[in-house]
Amino acid sequence: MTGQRKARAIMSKRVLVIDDEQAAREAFVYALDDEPYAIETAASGEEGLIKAQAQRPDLIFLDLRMPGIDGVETLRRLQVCCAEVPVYIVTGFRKEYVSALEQAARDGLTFEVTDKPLDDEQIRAITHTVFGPPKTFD
Amino acid sequence: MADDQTEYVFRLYSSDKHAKMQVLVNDFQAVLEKHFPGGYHVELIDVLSDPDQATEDRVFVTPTLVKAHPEPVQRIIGNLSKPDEVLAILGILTRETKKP
Repeated sequence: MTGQRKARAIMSKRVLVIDDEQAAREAFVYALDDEPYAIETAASGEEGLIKAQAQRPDLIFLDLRMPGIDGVETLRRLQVCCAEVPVYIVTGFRKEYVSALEQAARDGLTFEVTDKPLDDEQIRAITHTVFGPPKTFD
Repeated sequence: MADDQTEYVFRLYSSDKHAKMQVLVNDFQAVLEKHFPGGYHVELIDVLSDPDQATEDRVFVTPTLVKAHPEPVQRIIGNLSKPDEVLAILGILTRETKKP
């Protein structure tokens, strides 16, 4: 693939951030602001599902704890409408948080998990490696 | 388990321990066995079951492969489905050693 074609392919990638906390959504927008991706946000699971179905993102960052339908239920519904889209559940690596996902994993739902909060460099690294080659991280 | 003869120690962090990840561990072991027979240990860790270990290894996303030994500790994230490529990025396999 030529450099120009590769750039166009990356530019066409869409990232959806679903999180009820405005500061958390803005952190992703800020971190990816200079990157060649189209960033969309949603403030609830319900809004995220609507946007996911309408816009067909290439990557979804999904908060776990939200009012309304929570992250696990949102994930279940996403895998009905958009099963091919990689979903990264943004949560803390603490037992009380990740235990909510164990049943989802047992039910066969596919997802990755990230620690929370993520800094700008971590957000960019995750996004780059979803669309590109693996990367070392110190 | 790793012992004094172990040249490389890896921990592969995943969000599940499903068959797909075990296949990936097997793939890594096959490549490592070819280049470092008997001198490696690869452990699959489910962050949902053992989040404390992930924190201790400064893992912030799955999947992550941590090369825990020898120093320096290295972490690699992203698509880890090609062990040859991953081990080359870590500097463990060179382009020459990757050739059949």
